[in-house]
Amino acid sequence: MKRLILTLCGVLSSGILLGGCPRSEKATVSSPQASALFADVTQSAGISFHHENGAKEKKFYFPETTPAGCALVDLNNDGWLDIVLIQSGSLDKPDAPENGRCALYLNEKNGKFQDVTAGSGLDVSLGYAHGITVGDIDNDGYSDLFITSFAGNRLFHNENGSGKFTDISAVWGVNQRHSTGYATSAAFGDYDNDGKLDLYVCYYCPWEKSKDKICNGADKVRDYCSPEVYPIDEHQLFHNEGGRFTDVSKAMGISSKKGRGLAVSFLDYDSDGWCDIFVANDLSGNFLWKNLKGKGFKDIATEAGCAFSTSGSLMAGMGIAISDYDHSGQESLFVTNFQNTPNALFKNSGAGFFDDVSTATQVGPLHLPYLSFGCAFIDYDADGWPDLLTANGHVQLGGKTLEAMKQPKQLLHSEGGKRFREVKENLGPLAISTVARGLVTGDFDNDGRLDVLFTNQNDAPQLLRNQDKSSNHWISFQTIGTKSNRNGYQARLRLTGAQGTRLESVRSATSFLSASDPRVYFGLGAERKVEKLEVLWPSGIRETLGPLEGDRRYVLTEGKGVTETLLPGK
Amino acid sequence: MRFTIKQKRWLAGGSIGVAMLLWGVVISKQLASSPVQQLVEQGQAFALRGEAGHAEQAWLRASQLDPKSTILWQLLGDLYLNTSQWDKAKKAFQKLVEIAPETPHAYTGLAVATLRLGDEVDAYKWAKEAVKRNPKDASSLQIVAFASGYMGRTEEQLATLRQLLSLQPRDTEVLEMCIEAFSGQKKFDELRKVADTLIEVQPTNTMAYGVRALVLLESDGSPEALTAAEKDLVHALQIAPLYGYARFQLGRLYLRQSRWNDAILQLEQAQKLSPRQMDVPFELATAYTRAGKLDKAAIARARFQVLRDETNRLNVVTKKSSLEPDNFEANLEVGEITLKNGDLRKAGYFLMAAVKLKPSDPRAKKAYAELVTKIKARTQASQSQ
Repeated sequence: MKRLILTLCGVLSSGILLGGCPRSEKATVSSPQASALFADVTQSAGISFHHENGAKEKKFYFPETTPAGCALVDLNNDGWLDIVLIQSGSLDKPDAPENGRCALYLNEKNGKFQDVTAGSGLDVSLGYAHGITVGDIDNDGYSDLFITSFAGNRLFHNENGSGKFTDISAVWGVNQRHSTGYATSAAFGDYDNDGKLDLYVCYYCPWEKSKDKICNGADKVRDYCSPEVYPIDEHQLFHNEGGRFTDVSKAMGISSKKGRGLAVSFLDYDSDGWCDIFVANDLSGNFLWKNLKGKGFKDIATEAGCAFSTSGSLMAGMGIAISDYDHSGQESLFVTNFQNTPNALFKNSGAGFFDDVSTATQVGPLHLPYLSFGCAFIDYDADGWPDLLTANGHVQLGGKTLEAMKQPKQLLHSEGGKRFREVKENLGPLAISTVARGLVTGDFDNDGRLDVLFTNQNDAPQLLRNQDKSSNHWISFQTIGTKSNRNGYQARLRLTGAQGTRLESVRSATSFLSASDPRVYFGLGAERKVEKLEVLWPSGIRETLGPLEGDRRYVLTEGKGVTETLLPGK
Repeated sequence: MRFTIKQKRWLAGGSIGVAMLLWGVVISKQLASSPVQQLVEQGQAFALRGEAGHAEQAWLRASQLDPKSTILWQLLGDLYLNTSQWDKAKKAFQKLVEIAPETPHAYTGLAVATLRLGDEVDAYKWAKEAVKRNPKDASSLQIVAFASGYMGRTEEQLATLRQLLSLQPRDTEVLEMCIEAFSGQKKFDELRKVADTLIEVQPTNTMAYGVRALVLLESDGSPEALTAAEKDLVHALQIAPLYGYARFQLGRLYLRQSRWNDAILQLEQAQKLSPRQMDVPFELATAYTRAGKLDKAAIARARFQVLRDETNRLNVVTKKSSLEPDNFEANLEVGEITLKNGDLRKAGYFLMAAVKLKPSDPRAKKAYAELVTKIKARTQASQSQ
């Protein structure tokens, strides 16, 4: 009988490289808050938000698996990062007045935030919102908000940093739907270098409540569906005409391909001066939209080597992080993936293609126990080598409860850009399991160390203050475009110092559904000052600055060099 | 690169008599001289000659005379298992379980038949019953391991395999099952140990070398690991030069070492050996690109894309047929694609469903006929091994 069974298993087995998605060991080491790498200051900072995705109704609506994101950005130009938290709500009545009300918190510069949502203009039903991206669409000096939502995307104009926002979705033409699908992540970037921010919007799949599929897990217990039961959707690219966005998806080639888009980032991967667009797709090949000098886009992800994971496997591409993690002078791509499949690190060769170094650097094998969404390169100890942080949490119950979807975060320490090591000690709140989705980074208390904000499904967010005690030095830069877009998105900053030369760009969106502080941060290790900073603005203006003292934040204005220098705490 | 455990044979065709002989002793002790005993013995004689049909008739007549005979239902159940009559086997073992659930192997037989009928969930249930009665029932443990993996209960699958491994630490079939599961779950540490043991037990087991190399490639990736992996793969190829999986992994390894032309050589051979594996042209396209052979890279990439799209399509229609079991087109399409890929069991499941839904549809009939031909060919090849 045994032999018969083995015959069956031999025939049935899906092969050695295929398999299910187990839940495995977790990094559960916790430490007292005081000695932990990060401290959870959510409550003490005055953040009382609680996310809801409607899952408690146990209807297993497919879009419940993905939301929601957040933003950690300076919305009133006071030099301190503010917070926007995206709310989803219920899909049964997405347009109900109380559904999906996001939250706006302004930084009070003393470790606390004030909830100023009421009367801000954001205190309206957003109809099951998902993600957010931030950019100054009219170059008036204040960053505006674009929020993706099941009921329709919304564009909010920032009224001079007053804490008030006006819904300009219809006026700017971003409220049309091209399918019954829903948008997830979005990003601002200037693809034609005209100084105005354009907009890319990822769509996941067409979905209607009335056509929701009923799926069971392999053991016949009701569960969330795999996305493959729904069609794939087209994405949208909007061109900023000044006062209005025009949908140029078809004209620019974006609608030539479909993908289950979950994350998007602008980057100039081939350094030709035209920003390209990378999109992480779930169970469809990632896109690398090569910018044809502002005249169109062509997906070259397969040719460039970043469309698929190991040996051509589809990724469940969820989140994106970008950095010159190995000081090669090129920005590489990190993409999060499903549990039991490796996260991918695509190293930019500088010759127009990427090498999958997920195993060699260990970011792939170390990730296997987790299902990751948001992610960030974060040099949390300022040693000069960007580390990796992921927000984890499952999308299916697997016959268990919602509780079982929770997973701890994962922090990987960069060992000189060659390999990554999982940090297992002093994790503090990182070791607490949640169903995390969004992840953003930024120095909210301006102390020179990068902090983190996570969003968690059906839970409170986690604002984590970095408690690194090392004496490492740092330097950061805020960009203000004059000829280029006001945010200075896509400005390339090449820093030269004792650790060699490294490159980072200013961008509006990475991670998943979220917007991090766009200021560029470099850890300096023992280095107190840097020799030189070269700034290449999207307009083509090139500036060389330095030497520059470390442990300072510099405001760089296009064509004017350093226009402000700020010490920690300012 | 997908590769599966070598096909096994189990009491097929002429070997029915062996099982029947074993039962003869038991039967003669339990049945006094009677018409039932005579029929049992007749059936036994038929079985010894490989005349399964006549044996069945004799035992069925005996079961009419003594419907509560556990021996008869067990004999019938085994006969049906041996002759691949899964539905009948299931009914025979169900009867046996009704009459005497504590009969050794009653639940095991039921689990095997149920599994062969494509119902992994019920097979799991019956195998668990068998294990409850005999925690060391290796056959049932194997079904539990397989079915729990199918059901997404990966933790249970791994735990069961570990239990099996402790019972039979050097059993090559158990080791091979572990390799399948541990590699699927990327349990590289355990996989490495299993591969090491398998190499000890079977020094010519090429799969074990291939897997050990995979562990080094996928979990370490350091220059030293790549050197050790290369040694294993080269050794596997010395044993079996046509082992496509080793060629493929060697190609990948050379890609990691930036040895583009070496990689191309191995991957081109792997492609010849496994023309329907999408990962081979994927890696080949990379190797060609790095070697500056852009035209060839484009061809390999196009080949990869065709296979990738086909796999995507298979995933979509499989999900569709799962959601809509009465969807003829979905069942047929899954059956056709899996038939083309050589996954005969899956093809059989879906083509049977399609034929049941539309018995006279020419496409379903044609695909089903092709399936039967392929199964026969595979069985013959397996028997000749």
